[in-house]
Amino acid sequence: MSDSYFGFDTTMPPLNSDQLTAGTAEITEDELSKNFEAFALESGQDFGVYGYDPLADQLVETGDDYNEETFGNDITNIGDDFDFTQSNAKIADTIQKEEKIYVDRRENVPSDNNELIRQRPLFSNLWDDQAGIAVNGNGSYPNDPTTSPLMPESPISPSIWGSYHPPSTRKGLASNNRQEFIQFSAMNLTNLHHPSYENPPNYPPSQISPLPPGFGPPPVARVPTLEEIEKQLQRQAGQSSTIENHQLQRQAGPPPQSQLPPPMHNSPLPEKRMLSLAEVEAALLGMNSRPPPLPIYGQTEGVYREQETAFLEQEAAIREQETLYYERERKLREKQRKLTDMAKYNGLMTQNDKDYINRIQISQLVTDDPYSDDFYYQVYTAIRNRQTQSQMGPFSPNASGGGAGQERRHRNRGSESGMLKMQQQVLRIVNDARRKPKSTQLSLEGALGKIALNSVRNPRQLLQVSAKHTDTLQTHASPSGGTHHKVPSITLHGIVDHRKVLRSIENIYSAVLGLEELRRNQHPQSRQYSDQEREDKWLQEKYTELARKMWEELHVTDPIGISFQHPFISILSVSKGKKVIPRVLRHCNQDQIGAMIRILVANFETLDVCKAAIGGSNGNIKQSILDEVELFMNTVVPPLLQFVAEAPLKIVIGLLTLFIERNNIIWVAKSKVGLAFLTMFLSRAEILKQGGGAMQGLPPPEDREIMQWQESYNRLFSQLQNYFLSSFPPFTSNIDDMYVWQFLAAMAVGASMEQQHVLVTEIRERVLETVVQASRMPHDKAAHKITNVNLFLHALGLDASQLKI
Amino acid sequence: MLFYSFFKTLIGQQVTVELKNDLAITGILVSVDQFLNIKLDDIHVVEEQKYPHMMAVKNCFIRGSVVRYVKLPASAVDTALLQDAARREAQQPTVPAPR
Repeated sequence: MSDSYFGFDTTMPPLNSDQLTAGTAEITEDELSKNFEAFALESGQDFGVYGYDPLADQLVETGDDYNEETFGNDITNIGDDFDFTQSNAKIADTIQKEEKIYVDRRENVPSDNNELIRQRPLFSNLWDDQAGIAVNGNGSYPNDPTTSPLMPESPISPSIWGSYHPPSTRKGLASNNRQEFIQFSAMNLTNLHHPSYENPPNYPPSQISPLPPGFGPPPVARVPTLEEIEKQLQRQAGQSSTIENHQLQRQAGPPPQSQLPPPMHNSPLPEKRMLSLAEVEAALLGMNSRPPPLPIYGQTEGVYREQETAFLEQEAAIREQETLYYERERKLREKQRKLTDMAKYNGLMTQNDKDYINRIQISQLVTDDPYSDDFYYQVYTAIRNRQTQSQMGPFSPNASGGGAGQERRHRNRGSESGMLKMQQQVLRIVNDARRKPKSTQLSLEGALGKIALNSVRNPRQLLQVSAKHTDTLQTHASPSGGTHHKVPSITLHGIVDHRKVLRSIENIYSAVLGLEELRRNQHPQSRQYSDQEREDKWLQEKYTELARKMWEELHVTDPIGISFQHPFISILSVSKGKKVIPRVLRHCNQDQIGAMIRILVANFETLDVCKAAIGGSNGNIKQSILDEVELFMNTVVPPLLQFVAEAPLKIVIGLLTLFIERNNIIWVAKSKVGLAFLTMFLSRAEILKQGGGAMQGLPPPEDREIMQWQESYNRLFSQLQNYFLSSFPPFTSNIDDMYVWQFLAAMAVGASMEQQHVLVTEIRERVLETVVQASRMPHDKAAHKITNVNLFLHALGLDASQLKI
Repeated sequence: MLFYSFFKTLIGQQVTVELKNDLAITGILVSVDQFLNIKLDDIHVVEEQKYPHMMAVKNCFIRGSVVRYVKLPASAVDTALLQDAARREAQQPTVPAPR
């Protein structure tokens, strides 16, 4: 019984007795088979074994002798052997009965299908009349019944699918359904439609229908519907009608979309429609909280209720609002979509996982001593904060803490208790890390290589400079070059090795950094050790130790004259050596500074900023040297100047005498640095002579000291006489000659009348030239030149304005 | 740690990050981490004609390993301090290099 082309399950379980008794037929399957058996006995037919009919054996294949008997001149005598239809007719009755049972069973299925079932060709028709199939097809059935859309029908009304209906051959039924559906949806739309958009009384249902071309932009109709649905949802949340609305929305959506040109202001993408549906669904589930509808709607609704005629005037404005609203809505939806897209990754990590990773990251960054691991950042922000503080005044919010404060503020964002927990954990991790020193590599048993354990503080080394390599080079070279290749010690060989100097400078830096760190830790606010005294003592010892080391590395106390260049001078010849001096001097006592300045003055000629900075006749000095001079003036001179500015006259006399004795004054006076030192001594002596030493609590200089000073001064003047002009840089160069005028002023102040006269005669030309030059210069530059000249002239009691050019 | 420490001070400055694929991006440094991953804001690409697809990008995250150069504002770098920091790092008791 193959009824599979009707789409029914052919492997149905056998009918049970209930169903059978409920049906009209009284026969059971057993009875049926019994009927068959009886029939088979009656007719002498065995239905199962046609192929084994023994009658065939009696045929003689080759002979035609019995043809007549076989094919029948006399057919009446043939018998029942080949009459199959007769037996069919006998069982047909049974089959019909069985079919009735089946149909009755189908009665329970929803009524939609009843008609279909009734239309279905009966089995009996198949048996009885071949032509019946075509008749039952009503002419519209496809010829091949297996492709008929009739059977695979969902129990839900087909109208739900709207435009998704395939161009069915069952046009009558489909169009009928559609018509119903259109009217249905139009009705609902009119009900739901907001009165402010269209005029409800004049609102023909056909406008909603997808077919007429004069239909307004679908979103206009659609979105307010959505809005309405929302309102309804808010009003009657939980009621079953919401689902109905939802379905209505589904129905109302597609047809206009698919058949209308896109409106101007809002492109109705299919994707967008889906979104709106998704939104409604979300609203139904209460998943998202939509913003309340714009107040304009409620307002216009009220207006409409009260005065229906006035609302047409507002329409344009409302539409504007509408587009704005759509835009907002669209963005909101977009955002919502993104959020929901991402939401699928929510909760992938548990809080434990997150904490674990946070701990790993923070343990990499947090240290017990930020100054050792985060030195640059800490000091930089401290310096910056100090700068901004000095600009903004002492009450800036960053006043305390500096970089650490910034760090703290950064972390305050988290919840306080969580942060506290985290801090405790980090503290534990840091302590753990301190307890067991980190190894950089790990060799597993049986492994061929070593596993490097790299960290932030111990990154993978790309360059591995091994000390061994240089050692082998050294030993390799020594046989040929003898001891020359060995790094010469400064004192032994008399030649200062540049590398050695650099090494010394680095050692100085290390010591200075150590000293500075100790200074920073000297006043910790919250250090409450029981043995604070011991701690302090230990710190003090460490400090003196480092200071001693630094002093040794400076080589200030090395005897003069043993090496070609004094090691301290060599250090000062390197720019980073110059830079370290002010930092070194902070950790030196007055005696040490005095010793340093004496060494400097005694070896002044050999200073690179002196010997190299003296230009030839054309006065060309390399820019690099000028930079060095500038650096020296900015780093080394100021602290020494400060020392000299507080020194008693005795020391100043000693320094000047040393300076004159040990150096070629005429030559040194050509250098800027030399003049700066001379100016320094001269002006200090002059201040002391005039009793300025009282400020530092020094007794006024004795007459003997003043005599000594005058002697030294006279020596200096006599040496420089006739060479004062040579101190000036060439006129053509752009070097500011202020320092020369300063020096001359210092000379002039201490000079006797004759000496002043000599000075003026020598310098007169230069003064006049400068003034003339200034008259041809732009105002600001000219003023500067005149000021320079006046430095000198004022010392003599004159002024540039008195000069007649 | 020195570089991390250094780049932290540049936060808020305008830098140009040149990547190993020759793309150069200028922007405000927002943050940096210990791997020297970089976040930039208000970015624009140096050769806009060559990389038009980058015009719409307003901010970005750059993995530290793809950076070739970072061009810094000279005024934001304290070279003397940087030298000191390098010295300090060299001073720190480091484990001997694996032989």
